[in-house]
Amino acid sequence: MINRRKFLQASGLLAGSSLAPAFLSSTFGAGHSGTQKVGCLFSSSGAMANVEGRLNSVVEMAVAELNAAGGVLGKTIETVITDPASDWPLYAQNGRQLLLQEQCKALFGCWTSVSRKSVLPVVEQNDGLLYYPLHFEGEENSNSVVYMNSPPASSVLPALEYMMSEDGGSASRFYMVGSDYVWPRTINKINKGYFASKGITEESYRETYVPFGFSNFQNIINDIRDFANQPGGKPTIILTVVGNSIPAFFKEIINQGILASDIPILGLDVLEADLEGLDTSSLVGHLNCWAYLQNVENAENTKIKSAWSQFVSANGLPYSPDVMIDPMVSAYDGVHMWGKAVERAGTFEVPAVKEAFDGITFNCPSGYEISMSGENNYVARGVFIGSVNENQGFDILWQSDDTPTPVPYSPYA
Amino acid sequence: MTFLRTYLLSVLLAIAGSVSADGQDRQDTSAIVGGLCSSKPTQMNQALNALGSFTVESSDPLVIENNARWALWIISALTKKQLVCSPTGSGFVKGEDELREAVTRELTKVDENVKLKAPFLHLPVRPTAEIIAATTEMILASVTNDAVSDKSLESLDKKPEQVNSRQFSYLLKQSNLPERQVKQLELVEAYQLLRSEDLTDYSTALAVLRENASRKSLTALIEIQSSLSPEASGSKVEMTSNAINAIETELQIGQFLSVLYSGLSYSSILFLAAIGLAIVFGLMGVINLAQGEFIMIGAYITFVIQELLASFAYGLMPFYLLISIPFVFVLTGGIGAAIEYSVIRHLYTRPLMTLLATWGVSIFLVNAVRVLFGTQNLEFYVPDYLVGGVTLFGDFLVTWNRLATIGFAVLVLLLTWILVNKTRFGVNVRAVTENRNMAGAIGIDTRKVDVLSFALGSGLAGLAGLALSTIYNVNPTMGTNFIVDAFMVVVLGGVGSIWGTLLAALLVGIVNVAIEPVYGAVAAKVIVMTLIIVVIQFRPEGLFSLKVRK
Repeated sequence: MINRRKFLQASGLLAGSSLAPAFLSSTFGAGHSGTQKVGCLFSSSGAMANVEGRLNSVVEMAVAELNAAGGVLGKTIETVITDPASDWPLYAQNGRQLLLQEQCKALFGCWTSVSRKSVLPVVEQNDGLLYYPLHFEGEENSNSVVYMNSPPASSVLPALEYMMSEDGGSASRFYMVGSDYVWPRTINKINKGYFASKGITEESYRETYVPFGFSNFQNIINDIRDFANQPGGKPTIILTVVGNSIPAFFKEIINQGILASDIPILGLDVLEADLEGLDTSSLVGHLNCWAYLQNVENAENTKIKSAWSQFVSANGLPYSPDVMIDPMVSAYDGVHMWGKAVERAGTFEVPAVKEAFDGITFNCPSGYEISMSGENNYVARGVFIGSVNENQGFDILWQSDDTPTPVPYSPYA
Repeated sequence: MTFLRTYLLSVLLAIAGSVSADGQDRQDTSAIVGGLCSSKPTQMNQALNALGSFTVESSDPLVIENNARWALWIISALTKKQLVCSPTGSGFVKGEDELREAVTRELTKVDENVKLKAPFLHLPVRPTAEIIAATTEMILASVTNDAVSDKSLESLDKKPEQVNSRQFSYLLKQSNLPERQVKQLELVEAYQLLRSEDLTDYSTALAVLRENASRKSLTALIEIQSSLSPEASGSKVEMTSNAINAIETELQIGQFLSVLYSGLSYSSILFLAAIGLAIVFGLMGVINLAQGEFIMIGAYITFVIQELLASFAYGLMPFYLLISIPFVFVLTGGIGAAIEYSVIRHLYTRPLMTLLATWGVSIFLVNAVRVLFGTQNLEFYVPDYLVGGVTLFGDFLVTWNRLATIGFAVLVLLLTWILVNKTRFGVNVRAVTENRNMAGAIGIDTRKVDVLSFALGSGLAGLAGLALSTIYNVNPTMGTNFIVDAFMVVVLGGVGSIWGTLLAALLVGIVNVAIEPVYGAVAAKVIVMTLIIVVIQFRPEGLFSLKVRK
């Protein structure tokens, strides 16, 4: 389960080949010799594996970058990788193991909110620190978690506001489909509160949930067609299904001939990786919203994309070398922001590191300077709305001017 | 706005006559391109409508053909983001490595400092672009006598209210349109005639909408009904409510059929996934946890064949699914036989061990495929004849690929039945299943039967993978999604019985899908599981059980 050999190979290759002198000096210089472990909690098997698994490698890549630049506080960082197998209780078990047995000073992990909720008590009780890279439902503010990505107020609601504006097609009726767990249910609860504040009544939306890994969407899409043709204004689908259900949903949408011009889909968990294997010419125009889109143009983004494709080919990883998705960037940001916090605290001890969060900034590949305030453990990120293009990617349709202040607790929930 | 513009324009054209029609056109077209370059949805939609009207400005077929071709070129460039604009609002169309002026279509070059940007395609622009492209295509076809794509015709149907009125009245005047297009135009006209005061027009509209019953036509009629004042002519009120009732009935029939169809389609998938397992489980009592991985391997072999055809025999691509059938069956069967020979045969006396061993095999296969192909979902080419479907009753859409899966399942059922019941091999299989020792005593090579039937079970799973490849996600872990459902079906149906598997697949599939619209997909799963537990309580051997001497 613990992949130490792979790590040594990876960091050795990267740090050793190009920046050997720096690597050596950090190991043998200044009397700080030794290593410090950090842990990864991302599933490389089970329902979430397709997208979640690659985050392990991203953390390895970011850690290798830290090491190449001399390590953190002069120590070489070592990554310990586990596989919680998309099995929620296993996240807690592996997390405990990483904290108590491996003495990891920071954990990077979890995709679904249910897995985060499962690890939460473990990190809180054992003085751990979890960097969580996904945008999520908010309504949580633990001292032991760094929320790298946006709560709904700075991701979903701006996207809805756009769709309800004239430019976005004046959407006024919503069909919400989600996987049955805490993230979709809370997001939809917030959405409903938001609708009420905009004067949208209960007849104008419908919500339905499916089990994890559900793939037979015929009935639901029949129902969506029926809903869309009822009176009352422009229909929109808000999609919060996760994992393998996303491409399955899109396959049935293509199959039943529904285009973005008929019923646009706002896919809140839809990523470039979910479009792999789909004929996107029939999906052009559907939307998603994230804090990073691959097509954004800036130097940091160019850097991380080329670093990733080199990392993939150098280690023979089974991931696409030219797909870079928001959670990957968020995990990457997380490793670097942890490094900065430790350097500032001058120690790896978690309570001191937490004290050092206020005012930490990082030049994110999204082009925004992302930052943490002392108020909570959220990171302020920019907002993008993307639109599916024909090359299985997203064009940027809209992006925010700056990084809105994250609001952990929504007034609409 | 649009109307005013086009009106003024036609007046101007009439005055100018033949004097400088070309110059006028140039001005008009550059205004259209300027509008498209604005990135503002309202202006872009106006420009698109002006573009539509522009195609039917003249009555000269040659001019119409030219303008229509230009309009289609511009719209396709717009939607494909090949139309790029300079900051001053002049448009260009990007080609492979060339740049053309949008208005004149002539090759051109632009100073490198000028930043060319594709206009934003906000959501409201897409429908207009689609519908103008569709009517323009029909107009072009009426001049050149070409065929119009189904996709274009369908978009007319979806948004009748957005059809450009000038293009529409031009099309209505054409007498040479094929029947399908005439029908479609009638439907568009019907939506417009609903507003008509004339009673004959109104009843024609109602008749057409009744013929094309859908939720959309129902919504339109209900809207009209609520706007009819009580003093309005009594027959109009009555006609409307009759039409509404008729459409509602048809919609209900359509809804019922579409649940039934979804159920059948789901059942066919369950059956395909379970039939191989039923044979292996029934014959050898081996609980093969790697069965899901054979489904996955079948899909991957289909993918490899698709890729090979794409590089070496592109012409055969539309038939790759048919071509794959024998390869998938033989190759997955072969892999199954190899696993039986190398792993499972040593463990026949230890059923618990086979459980563990096949689980190990499953993990091995998943990771082997992951290393060879990567974790991402594979892209399958879906041949044209499997895309889309046909609408029967109301909104009941029969999708071709689901229909093909149902057909394939029936074919697999028949072939398996013939193989097991009508061939020498089948007799041997049944003999070994019923009494292994006795079968061995009368000279049946039970080892050979074991290997062959394991291969048969694996081959059938491979075929399931082939059938699923166009419907579901194909990735290394796809098999695990099916193994639980497949076991459920086999246990419910009765171990080793083909008919039992069929009946159980139908039951689980249809019950599941029928509960879904009422209680939701989550509850459906719970209810089906509960039902299965209850059935197993009363019939532990499953619905159909073979008499077996252990």
